[in-house]
Amino acid sequence: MAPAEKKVISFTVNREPIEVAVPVTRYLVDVLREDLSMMGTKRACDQGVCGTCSVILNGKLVSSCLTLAVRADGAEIETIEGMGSLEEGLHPLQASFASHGATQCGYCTPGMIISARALLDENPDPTEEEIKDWLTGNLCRCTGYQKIIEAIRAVAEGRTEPDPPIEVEIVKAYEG
Amino acid sequence: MAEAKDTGGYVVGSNQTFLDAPEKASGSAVYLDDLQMAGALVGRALRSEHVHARIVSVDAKEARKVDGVVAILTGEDLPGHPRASTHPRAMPIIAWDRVMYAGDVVALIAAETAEAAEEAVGKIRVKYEPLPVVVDPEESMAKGAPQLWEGGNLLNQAKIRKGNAEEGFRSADIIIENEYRTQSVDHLYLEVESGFAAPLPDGGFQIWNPTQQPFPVRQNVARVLGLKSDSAIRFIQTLPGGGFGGKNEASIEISVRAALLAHAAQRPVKLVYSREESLISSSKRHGTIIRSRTGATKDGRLVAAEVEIYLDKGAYSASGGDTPPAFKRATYHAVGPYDVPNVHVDVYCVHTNHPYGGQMRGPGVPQVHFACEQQMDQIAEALEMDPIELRRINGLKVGSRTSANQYLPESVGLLKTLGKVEEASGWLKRNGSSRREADGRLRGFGVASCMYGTGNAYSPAEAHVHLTRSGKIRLAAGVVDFGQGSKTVLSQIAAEAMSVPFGEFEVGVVDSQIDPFGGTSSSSRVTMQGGKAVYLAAIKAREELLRLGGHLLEVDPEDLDISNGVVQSKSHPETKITLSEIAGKFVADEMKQIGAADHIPPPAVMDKETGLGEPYEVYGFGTQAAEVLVDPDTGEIEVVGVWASHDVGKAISPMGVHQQIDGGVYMGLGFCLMEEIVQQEGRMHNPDMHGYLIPTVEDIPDRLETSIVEEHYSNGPYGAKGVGEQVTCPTAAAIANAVYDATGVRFQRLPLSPDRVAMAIAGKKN
Ligand code: FES
Ligand code: FES
Repeated sequence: MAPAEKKVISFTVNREPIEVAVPVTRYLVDVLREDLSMMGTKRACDQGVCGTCSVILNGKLVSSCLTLAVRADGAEIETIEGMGSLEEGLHPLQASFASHGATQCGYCTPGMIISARALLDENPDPTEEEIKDWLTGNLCRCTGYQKIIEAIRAVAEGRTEPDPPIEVEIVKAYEG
Repeated sequence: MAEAKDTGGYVVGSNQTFLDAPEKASGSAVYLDDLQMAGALVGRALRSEHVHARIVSVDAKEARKVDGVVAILTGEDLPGHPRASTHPRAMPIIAWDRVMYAGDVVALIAAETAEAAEEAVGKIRVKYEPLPVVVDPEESMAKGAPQLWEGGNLLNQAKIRKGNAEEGFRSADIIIENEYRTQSVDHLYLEVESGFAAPLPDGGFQIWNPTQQPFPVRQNVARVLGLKSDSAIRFIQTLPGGGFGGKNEASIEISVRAALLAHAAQRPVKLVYSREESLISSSKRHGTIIRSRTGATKDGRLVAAEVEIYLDKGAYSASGGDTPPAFKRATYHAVGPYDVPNVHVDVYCVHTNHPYGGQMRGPGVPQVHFACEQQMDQIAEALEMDPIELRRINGLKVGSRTSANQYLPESVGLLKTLGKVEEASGWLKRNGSSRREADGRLRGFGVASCMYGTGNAYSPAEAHVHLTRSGKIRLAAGVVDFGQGSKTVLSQIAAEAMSVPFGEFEVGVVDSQIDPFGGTSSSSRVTMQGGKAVYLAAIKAREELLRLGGHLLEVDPEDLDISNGVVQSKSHPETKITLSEIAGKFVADEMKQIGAADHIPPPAVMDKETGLGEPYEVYGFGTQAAEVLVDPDTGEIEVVGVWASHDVGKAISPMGVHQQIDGGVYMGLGFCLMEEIVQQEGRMHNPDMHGYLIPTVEDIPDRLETSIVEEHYSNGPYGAKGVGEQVTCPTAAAIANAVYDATGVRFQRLPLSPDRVAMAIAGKKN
């Protein structure tokens, strides 16, 4: 097999300029994960079905598993790593997902949050229906989506905590 | 880190943000494929071209010449032809004389790059001699069927004989008899199977895997590699990106394969299956054929139930060996959560050339509930009785006996779940049945209940509590949190028992150098069985903190108490010491063990002849109602509402329980409406995510109302049982009953895909 032709491309990821030589057949998800070691962006289908590889490219939500890296030449890319971090503080969407229990195994979560971010950028106060319409390209196998929708609605309402708080019944548990 | 919530001192029963949720939401959580290591090779597997064939020869000469290929293993290279477990019918790590399903591995490759591995795969020449294929479990038992295993295709059979079924049927006023079929489905965790292995300088190996059962992985890798002791393997768990039962057996086979490659290459190897490989090769929820006969008297009392079940075991035996969890559970849940005096159950677990049946969220139980809960619906209809009322009359309660004749002395919340669902769904006011909406769609309501044997009999768990140098508490319970939140729930249990704030707790991933054997994360056992070990260890840790504190304060520990993480004198409250002060004095290393305990759940006491006894120590119960709209022309079903209520003993984390119900209903909905491994003569037609459909956000009900019933269990920590699996068991039957209510057509075969539904409705009209 002849190695694919390489091309040097430059773009920004979370505002940081990057220059990298990539085979013209390489997908953006591989460049992010393998070449740049940015592991926040996941992959689960390689077919554009699941949304775990979602990133924002020039303001638009794309599946990085279907985007050839060379197409990102000159682009501005945003990934989950650019939204917030444990050290510097979470983005409200990240905090809201955590406190609403909108993440279980967590594998869909970065893609979900990036997708939700793109939604709120476009429509800061989406209805439940609009959230559902938007998220059809992001699959989650654990949560049943309910708490994901609630977490996004909360941020639209300027909260990151559940409201009303999820039913809590504090009784002194009996011994053992 | 999220702030721990102030719950007035009580942690059990409060909602705490899951310990690892902020990390997951930030994108910094590390999954197996996120591990990168200098010098690591890429692993690849060559899969069978046939469903059933004799292997004539495997020629890897050309493949070995490919630039960048470091190691190639074929079946002949593995002395003793190891299997994934010691069971004689377990999957071969590399097939050598025969392939028995399309997922069999014929060769393994380790190469410098994915491209080189890919090229090498294409250059391995395998000659096969195709053999006849059998795919139906019932046909597989018939005379003349292709023999997959010496000794016959039947892996095992079980029965229950309680009372006298024939006499029971004679006393019945009505008898309902049907055949049901459930399909094979995949876990479809978003993270595919993946494994990492690296040789250690001392001849051992380090293994990383997102498994649900760390210690069996370690054991089997050590066994296949011929290492003297398990401790030559250091096992470190990575976060599983979903499991649902599938990352039990699959994690063993992939870890062994990665380790064999690492051994051959003497380099680290990462092996990650493609989605297609995952779908073709991984375990499936057993497909079933279920024949049910149920008798009742006019006043709605069940008098007899006869059930015959065939489970499609696929090519190989997996977890449980001769007694797979799905086989045992199908047997003991076959008649549902009801008090039936006369029971006759026969279950056959039969090999075919399909992917092997494994554990999937409630192994065997969603299938049998699909049958028995539709039987109940038909009895209610025949007797013109409300389906909830019929369940109330027959439902198990404290003092009842199960189909195994097991006496239930406590913790039976079925009737309460029925009541909650009846009320929440407005069941009695529903009167919308079979109503045609303005858009031509038909509206219907259905209900189904379930039971679930919680945990595994005689499944020991051990837990350790450590004090870290900075004065935090680190739990080591040896069980995997695969998203269900066990790190959090176990910490809540320990926090409550120790009177130490939840925010002081840390739990890592399972590491065989730190963690004791906690058992597997399966059978909804972690909260109840792992949690009980944690509770016992925490009680000891509390005593140890009092002892150490007493030492430093020069106070008799009898006079000390812990409150809010501070050790304090009862008689002189100003005399006190913090955990970090205690740690400063006594923790020289990274951490110090301050409490350890194990919990050994009761064994299953069973009578071999009759199948009667105590298969599980306690049961979870639940009820779900569904409201649907069915388009009679397109056959499309919209589930507009689900009301679900489950008895979990005690909700340590109510939020966690609600999360489990949400996810369980979601999976049940997929099982009912769309999910199916479509196969023809053992070949899969939909081995990708375009073809294998799971519910999207558009498919979930607009209304999902979940509620919790708490019937405390005296041998569970703070009364807790379990929740993870029961929540998906009644959903398919509730929806199918609702579809019948809407259309008058009974669906006995899953899934209720639009084409099937439209055809059946059209057929009924003609
Ligand atoms: S991995 Fe890109 S959409 Fe699934
Ligand atoms: S949280 Fe597991 S896939 Fe969404």
